[in-house]
Amino acid sequence: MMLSGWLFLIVSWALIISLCTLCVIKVLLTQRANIHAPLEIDTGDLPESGTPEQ
Amino acid sequence: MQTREHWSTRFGVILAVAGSAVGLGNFLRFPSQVCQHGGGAFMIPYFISFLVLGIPLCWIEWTLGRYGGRYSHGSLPGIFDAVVQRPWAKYLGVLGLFVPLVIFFYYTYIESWCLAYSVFSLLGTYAKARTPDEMGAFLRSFQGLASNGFFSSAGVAYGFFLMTFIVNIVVIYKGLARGIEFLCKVAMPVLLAGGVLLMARIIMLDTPDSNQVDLNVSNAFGFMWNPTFSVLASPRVWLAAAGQIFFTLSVGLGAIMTYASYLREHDDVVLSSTTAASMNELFEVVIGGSIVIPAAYMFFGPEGALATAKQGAFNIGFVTMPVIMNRIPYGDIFGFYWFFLLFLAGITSSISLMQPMISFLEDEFGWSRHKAAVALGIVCFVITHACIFGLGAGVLDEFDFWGGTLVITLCAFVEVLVFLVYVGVPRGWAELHRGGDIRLPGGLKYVLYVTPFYLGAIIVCWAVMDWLPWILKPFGIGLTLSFARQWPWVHWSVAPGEIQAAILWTRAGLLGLLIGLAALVHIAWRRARVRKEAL
Repeated sequence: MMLSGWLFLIVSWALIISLCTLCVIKVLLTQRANIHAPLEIDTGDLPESGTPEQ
Repeated sequence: MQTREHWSTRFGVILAVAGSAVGLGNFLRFPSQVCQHGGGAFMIPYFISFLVLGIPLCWIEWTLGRYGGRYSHGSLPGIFDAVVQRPWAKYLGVLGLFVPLVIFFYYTYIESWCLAYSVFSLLGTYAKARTPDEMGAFLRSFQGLASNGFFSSAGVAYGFFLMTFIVNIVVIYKGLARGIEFLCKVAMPVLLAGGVLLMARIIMLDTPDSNQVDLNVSNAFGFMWNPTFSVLASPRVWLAAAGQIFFTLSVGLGAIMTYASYLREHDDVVLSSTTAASMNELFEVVIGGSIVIPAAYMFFGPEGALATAKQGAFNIGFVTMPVIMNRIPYGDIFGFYWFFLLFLAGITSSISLMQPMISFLEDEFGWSRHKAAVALGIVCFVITHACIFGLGAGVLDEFDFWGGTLVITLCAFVEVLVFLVYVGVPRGWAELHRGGDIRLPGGLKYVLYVTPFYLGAIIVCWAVMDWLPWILKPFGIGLTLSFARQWPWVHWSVAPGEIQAAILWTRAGLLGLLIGLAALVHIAWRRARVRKEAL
């Protein structure tokens, strides 16, 4: 294998592996931030929300 | 109207889209293209095409898909109707139903060969075929095209097709999160692990023939990667690179749009689309490029490896690789891995091919997923028989040409035009970044203006050099066209050939399918209008 062959292989692999790794890391890091809080539903059975359910 | 399904996790949709893109072409077509078109030098037009054609098309499809999902449309007729807001737009979207369906008709059959060969590897069924010629005879016998002692009929192939088809329908039937997403979450890591394992096995191979020490791993990778820069002057190389990028990313199918339509309005698409595309490239360049051609070089020498590459993807997969597996230690186990890996790559793609039509029936006709999956499964099962029993007459190749080559490219071109004309780059760029977890450099926006010209130029070249001769061939006209540097720029020669009735009937059938789909779109919108007026 010639030096130019090694160069093309290493550059191609490095470009792809680094792009893929960066993207996956970013997805995993932002996934945590994207978790939504549970909906705040007023069930109407608490004293401060008005008349308790019968 | 029933509630639309949604992906259960963000990584699920990324793996589903990456699974749709990672197919047989990543492992079979890419390496043969590289070694035929200048080795490492091929990567220059390849990466340029990725940047100018592949990634912009992915961004456009994800953006249009999520936009359509906001209006409860997951297939191209509905998405075009929502974006363009003209009566004709929905009929243009019929292309996005036609392409995945036609590809599905033959893809599941090819996928079943992978499953069959993985079982054959473990059972040693093809161990008697020691040379490429014998393995070719084995394949033809398995397909029912020749009677040469390996199989008495195509019954075994049909059995594996039934199994593969049922698995596909079951996954689709189970739904988006419990079927497609679950399968991709399991299959993609297995695919990655299997691919890395095979790659490591090839890298650690000893020289098979001690008398030919040149046939070693280093030279094998050199054969694949040593650049020949002179080839960059040839338009053929640029066309091959653009074609490889176009077909590997599964754009123009409508599948990415349908998958993206199940996202919520503020879910990210910019990072997800780039992640899915880069995952596909990882499977193609790093893993796909390190298995077939290096192995073929070590066992058959440079001439044999080049001849293998020129014989096309199917010969590489089903003739060359089984012969190599027969010759390496524990070849039965590695053969099983190889074909099961191809099967997994195939199934994650084939399920995505059904989804646009399922989504169309759910969204526009109000059908349940179960009803849509069963009805579509019956239709697909019947039509696939044309590919199985018409294989020798060229029916499968004809399906591949119209669905997987010509209309898919036109469909992608229409998508780009719709995006540029009816959304516009500034609004489209903003829509792409809505809820985005990353912000792309603003300069990349201008690439979207270049994409239609790049794709348009490729379409013209393909139409002249490949499509026109193919279209005329069954009419008994053997046309050969090539570009020249001087006027009239195109050289042609015409030779008489045979009229191929089976192919002409196949074309009539495909035209009927296209008209039938357009009629379904018409009925769906008329029913929606009647419902609206009644309210």
